[in-house]
Amino acid sequence: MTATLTRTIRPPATIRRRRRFRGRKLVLGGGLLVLLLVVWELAARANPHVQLLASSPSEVAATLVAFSGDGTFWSVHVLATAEGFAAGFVVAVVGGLGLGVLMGWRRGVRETLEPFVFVVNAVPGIALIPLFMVWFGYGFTYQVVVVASWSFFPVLLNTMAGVRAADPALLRMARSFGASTKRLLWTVALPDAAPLVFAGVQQALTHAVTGIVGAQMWASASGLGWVIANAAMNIQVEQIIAATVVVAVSGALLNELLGAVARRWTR
Amino acid sequence: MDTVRLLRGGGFLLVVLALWELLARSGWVDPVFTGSPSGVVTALGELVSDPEFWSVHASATAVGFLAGWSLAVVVGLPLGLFMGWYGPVRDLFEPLVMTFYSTPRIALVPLFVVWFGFGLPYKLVVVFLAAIFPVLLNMMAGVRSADAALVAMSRSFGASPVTVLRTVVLPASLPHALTGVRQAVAHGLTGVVVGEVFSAGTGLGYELNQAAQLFRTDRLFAIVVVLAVAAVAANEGMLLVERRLTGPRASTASRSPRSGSAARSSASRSA
Repeated sequence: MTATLTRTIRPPATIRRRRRFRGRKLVLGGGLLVLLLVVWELAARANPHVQLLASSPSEVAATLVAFSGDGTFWSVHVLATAEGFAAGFVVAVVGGLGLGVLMGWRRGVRETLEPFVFVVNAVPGIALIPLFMVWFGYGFTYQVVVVASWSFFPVLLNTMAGVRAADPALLRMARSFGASTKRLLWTVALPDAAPLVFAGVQQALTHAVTGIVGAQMWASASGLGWVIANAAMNIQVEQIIAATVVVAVSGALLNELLGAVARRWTR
Repeated sequence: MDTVRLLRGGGFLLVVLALWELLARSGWVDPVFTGSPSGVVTALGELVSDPEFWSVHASATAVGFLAGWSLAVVVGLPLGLFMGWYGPVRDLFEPLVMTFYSTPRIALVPLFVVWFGFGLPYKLVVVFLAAIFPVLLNMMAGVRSADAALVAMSRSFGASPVTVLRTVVLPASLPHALTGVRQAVAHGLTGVVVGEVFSAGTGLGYELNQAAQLFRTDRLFAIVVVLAVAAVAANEGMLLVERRLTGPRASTASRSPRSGSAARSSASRSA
């Protein structure tokens, strides 16, 4: 009885909190963004110091157009960033998934590795960039190691938590119906863990994007991170911002893609 | 049971350390590049007994972190509250916030060097941008997670918006707010080291960088240990505060006024 009662009461309350009309965000939020861009542009035109230190939206747009028509920008810099990112991210996801399943599924493995994982995870990733630089030089390996080390732990920890959280009643039932361990893992534990795993992978994606840019800014001969660091040395602010826009948009697109895949798989 | 766990976990850590030491001593790898546990312990001893390390570098990092983190909390909590509570405010700021949130902020670090040089204002901005989002987004989510039925009920009993906010919404959002503030500690610490590694004259990040360039790997690891200990200690401290203020239950609706004021005082304390 009470259940039906709350059920009839709740919807109006939630409906009340919903936005009245959807266009408001577009008008208000988009309006604020446009306003800020206009103020920035006007300030840059009025004052050459602003123009020098902050560039201007029109200059950034022009730089983006120049980038998109520049063959080397794509074949050298974007490619270098994409390669380092993809390799490091794949290593992190595959390694994190594998070890996470192992640690979530086998208590012995978990208890053996947990303190070690805790210790390594407590280290701020950025602190190891100078060390990796010393170890691996500033080539592809260095970038892959930085990206993988930054994005490994979200996948590992979420996968482990997800596998551990698998419904014990379901596991017991499947086991008593004679399912093998492998089957239990594939049909019960992993599907149960999928939402958490995807959340971890999504977090790892953000870390990986930051990681590749950071690694290339710190030390490299090409890549979007190099473009940014190089532009900073020459105080070409419009190039810093334009390259950042390219990274941000690519990251957002990848994130959307991953979100779509996650919705597909976890439904 | 727990002994087995301790033996396994502790044993593995010891094995890793022993292997590392052996490798470094055997000459298979060059200890200049890998360091060794005994070397790291020695370097750590030198580091913590060096007054300059504390008075110049550790303090510079601490000040940069505290300045940026405090500002993130002071700006993030009220802004998150308003964005969670008022639809128009949320609609106004959300696109802007999300634009910056989805930008890899590390790419903007060189820009801040150009703008602010490499002193305290530079670190403050880098830390602020690293720490604001967990505070803001968690606070906003907390406010929005307030039980809609409770809000509707207290409204229909004639509570003013301020009363609803104080007695229903703030208590419900307190656990989220505290989680955000705690996450901001980790993000802020990473932020300050990022700032210092890329450009600084003092600080742990600067020291880290120096150690790497001079191939003083033992010292580098010692600084990493200091950073990791600081990060863990800060996180545990915040967890303690969190448990103190929210109690064992996640829902604090029944103790509303007290927890509500606690949320405000935690915001003002770090100012």
